[in-house]
Amino acid sequence: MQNLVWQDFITLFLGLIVEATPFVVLGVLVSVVVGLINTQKIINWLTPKHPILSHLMVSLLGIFMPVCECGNVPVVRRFLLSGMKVSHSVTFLLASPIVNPITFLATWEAFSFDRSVAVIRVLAALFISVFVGLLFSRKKDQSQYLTAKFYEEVCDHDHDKQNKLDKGLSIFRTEFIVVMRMMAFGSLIAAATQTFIPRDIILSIGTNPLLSVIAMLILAFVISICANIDAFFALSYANTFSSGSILTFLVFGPMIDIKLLSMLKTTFTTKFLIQLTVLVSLLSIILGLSVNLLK
Amino acid sequence: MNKHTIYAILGTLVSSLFGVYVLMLFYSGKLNFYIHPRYTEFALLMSWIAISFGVVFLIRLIELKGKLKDEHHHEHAHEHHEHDEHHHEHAQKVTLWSRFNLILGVILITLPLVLGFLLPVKTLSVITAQQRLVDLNGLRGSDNTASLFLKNTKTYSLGDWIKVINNNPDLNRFAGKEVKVSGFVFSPEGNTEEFLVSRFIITCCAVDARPLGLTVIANWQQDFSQNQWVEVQGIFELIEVNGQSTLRIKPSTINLIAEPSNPYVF
Repeated sequence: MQNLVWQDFITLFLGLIVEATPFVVLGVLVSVVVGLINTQKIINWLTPKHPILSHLMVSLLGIFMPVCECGNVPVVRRFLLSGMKVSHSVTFLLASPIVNPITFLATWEAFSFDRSVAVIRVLAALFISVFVGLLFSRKKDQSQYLTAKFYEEVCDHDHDKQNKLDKGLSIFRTEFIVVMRMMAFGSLIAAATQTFIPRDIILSIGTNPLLSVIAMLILAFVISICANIDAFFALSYANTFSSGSILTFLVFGPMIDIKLLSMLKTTFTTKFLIQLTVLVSLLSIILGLSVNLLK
Repeated sequence: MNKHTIYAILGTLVSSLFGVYVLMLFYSGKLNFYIHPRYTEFALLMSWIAISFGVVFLIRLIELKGKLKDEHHHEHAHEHHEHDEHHHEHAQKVTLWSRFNLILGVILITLPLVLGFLLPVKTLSVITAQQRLVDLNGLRGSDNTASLFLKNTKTYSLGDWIKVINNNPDLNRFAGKEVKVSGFVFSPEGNTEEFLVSRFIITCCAVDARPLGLTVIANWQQDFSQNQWVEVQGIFELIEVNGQSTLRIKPSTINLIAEPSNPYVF
């Protein structure tokens, strides 16, 4: 039986990698395109002076980018390199995996018995992403949120000496490596938690309106599955868990999880990521709890 | 070779090899041990794209061979927008950490490929089944149940049966029907008088696998152990459990079989 534990650990690990890497390739392709065209103008247009309006516009950008959260990391890095503000990039990062059409369709299909789940999910994601973005936008020098190594990249604009082909190739391999490294790390942890820690520990907390929300929050954090398909996964808990906790899972999971955090560490400072995690966790718990108490 | 060159070659190599790995899984018919069939085309397309990036890089490398030294120097000067961890190289004192970090990175990036290429492809076992909730409702069809029953139910697979049962609340229609299904032996609660003939249902990839199954009445522990694949032949019976009618298979034969090539339900 011990052999089987290791065997399943490896199967889950490879399952995550084989499933997610094509999405990473897609994300890297988008980031190559973003890196080769002049995104400065688009970003300027997308981020007008009015803070609420600009964050709202960025939050809707994900509709045109059918990439899930792992694919978004290289795109966000490219946006930041093109001069997007950290607060806007955070709004994009939080909203886009949920407002993206594939995720919406999957949620709509999975919860066909209760269509409100898909709608509340999108509305909650828009609200949380804009709210969190606005909070971070209050800081004047937002470059402090970026790691030192990334900050130097942002300041560097000397891109013109390479031709487009070489530049595209270079973006592709660099982004692929950075993202893959972190994805491998996150997948290892997610697979290990699923095989070596009894699920009962998370599940026994049961149907309590608050505890179930927190349990689903932890589950979403640990299992790190893609936003495009997490609705189907959540569905298997719909019978046993409160509807508020399912929504918490669906809203929190694409925004923050182990795999994503380890990928974001390449770009943002640890302090910033802790603030972000705490903020989004609190908002997601409030969302789940209020759904539980109102229904 | 400096860290930057290692990463440049590694990045291209790993992305291409990943593409090769997915193609290899596909042509050996095992890609769907890891992901749902509906992702197959997408995974193949992205793999070919990753491979072509590698090929173009190789061509460029040969083209630039004469200027490789220049190119190297040039890249060095612009290392920072090529690579995000160069700042370690500025400070002598962190060299050890930087080297450790590099080795860790190389291990992490190559680990999936090493495991993928060297180990035989395995499906999930009963260990994972025990970690998950049995998800009998995971499979629903929009098919009209009445018309489904017109078909010959003798050829129904485990997934077919569960789909029909989920679509038909009147369990009386099942009583007495002949059934022949295969799956692995799974006993979620350690009940010695019955077991689930079980398979995993997958909606995306192996990570979201949940076990589903039909309950078989048998003192199974003498002849079988969990995780073994069996083919169960018998008839459906309705019995009362805690005041609710539930379906059970009363087996006439239970035979050990080899794991099939399509072990999952999609």
